[in-house]
Amino acid sequence: MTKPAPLPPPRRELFAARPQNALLAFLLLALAWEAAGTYAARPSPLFPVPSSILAALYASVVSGDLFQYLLPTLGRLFAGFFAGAAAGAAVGLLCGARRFADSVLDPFISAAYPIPKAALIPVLLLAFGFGNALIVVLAAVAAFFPVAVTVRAGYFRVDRSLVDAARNMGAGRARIVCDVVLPSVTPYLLAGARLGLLSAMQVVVVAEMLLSAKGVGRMLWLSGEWLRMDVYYGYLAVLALTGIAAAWGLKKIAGKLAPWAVTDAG
Amino acid sequence: MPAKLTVSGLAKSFPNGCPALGGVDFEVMEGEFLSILGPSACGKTTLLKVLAGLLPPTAGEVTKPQNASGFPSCGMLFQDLALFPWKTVQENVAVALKFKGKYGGEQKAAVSHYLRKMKLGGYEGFYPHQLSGGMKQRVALARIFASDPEVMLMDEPFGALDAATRRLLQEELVSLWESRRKTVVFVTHSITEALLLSDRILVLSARPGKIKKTIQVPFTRPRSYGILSDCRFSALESELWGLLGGEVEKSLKEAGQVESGEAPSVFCP
Repeated sequence: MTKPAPLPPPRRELFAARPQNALLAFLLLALAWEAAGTYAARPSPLFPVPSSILAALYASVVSGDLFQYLLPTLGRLFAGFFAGAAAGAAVGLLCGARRFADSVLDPFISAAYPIPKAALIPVLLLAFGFGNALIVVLAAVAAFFPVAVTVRAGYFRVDRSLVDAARNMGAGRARIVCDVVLPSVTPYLLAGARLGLLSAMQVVVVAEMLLSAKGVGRMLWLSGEWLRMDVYYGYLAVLALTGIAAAWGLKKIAGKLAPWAVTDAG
Repeated sequence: MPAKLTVSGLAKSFPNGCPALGGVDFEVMEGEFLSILGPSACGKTTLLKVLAGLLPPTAGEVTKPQNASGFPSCGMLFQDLALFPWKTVQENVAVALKFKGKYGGEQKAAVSHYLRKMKLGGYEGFYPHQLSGGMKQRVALARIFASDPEVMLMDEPFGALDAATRRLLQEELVSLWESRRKTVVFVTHSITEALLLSDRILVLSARPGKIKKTIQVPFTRPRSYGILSDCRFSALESELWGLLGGEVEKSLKEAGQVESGEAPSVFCP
């Protein structure tokens, strides 16, 4: 009997193959910025040096401000994201499975997708009033579309011959859905979820700015008003890190749910 | 020997009215290895899909074996193998048995038996994308043998392989089949393959496919590539080539295209 060959290496690493390259470039940029800010004849108040940004961030952590402002944002984001993604997955599957449903729903989805979700704030404000409900609904709407569109597309790309093979092996309709359709769609669902999470995050921050709801968006607005650009950039960095962490988390989930298609899950 | 599978007056047209099969009659005997040889696009795959119950015939009838144990009566090995990308080698081989809800000790033993036979021991936990083309092919073969259908339908299973791997797998299929003697309907466009594997060969005409000729293959079993040097082999080969060559030309003319057919080098092994 042949000995199994060692497992081939994964086709692609989680992030760019060499994260140290990007990190080094980032550090060099920060150093140049620091030097320019320190030695410039007239330093611009719009671009505080990185060390002062770090100091502001540190002060925010110590005073507890960071968590007070970050937690509500995350709460709204994930509540809306999960609701919207679940609805999007359901609609995407429905469109894939039922030609009639698709003929009715798809034009609506195509028409509504390009509308900036922040443009819904006035009507949602009238419907839900100021408060978390509005922002959660907005995040849900933002997450809904990418998930619905990718899941629908994934459904149409289910391999016909796998369906035929399952039928030939005696699988019924329910078996085909559970054992062929859902696994085929999973990588698409995960790719859509990642896009949906990022658009939900954008719209949550915008809503917090417009509605003065306590959160990262509010903090960005306030630090602009008070000309505290060090705080401002600190919170921008927090948003960027949140996005990276969320994408990484989804990638981890993809590795667990769909290990055969980690690269396809984006 | 009783007929295992009877096909009478089978015709199939596609929804756009294009005829794929124009009235096919044949019988497959119990334990027979029957090859269907034809030019590309002559309806070979369509024929197998009708036999597998995946397409309804437009006219005619297929009498299939009834199986009390509930396993699929006509198991199919697909041209593109149809391995589930999210299932490991082991799961892919066991899947047909699991779909039938019968997966006890006996079935588990069959799965590991065919995994070993197909030299897949140690690879049980691998996913298809981690395997070479030849190994995927072995998984598909192990799957159809482990699922133990009454009739095995094989759709050009070795079409996409390089010559060396193809030859190796043909020999493995011959020896596996000779130990089990299941009824097989094997679709191919390779004359050598048909002569090496089968008891009988049906030659199909260009579309709409009809049976042009039936040829008994005289070689005794067990067989090996040794029969290539048999003088009857080259005689049958040129006869088949003559039958097939005209049909290939016809089918190309009809399609208005020219493709490279079977390499003529098969004549001088």
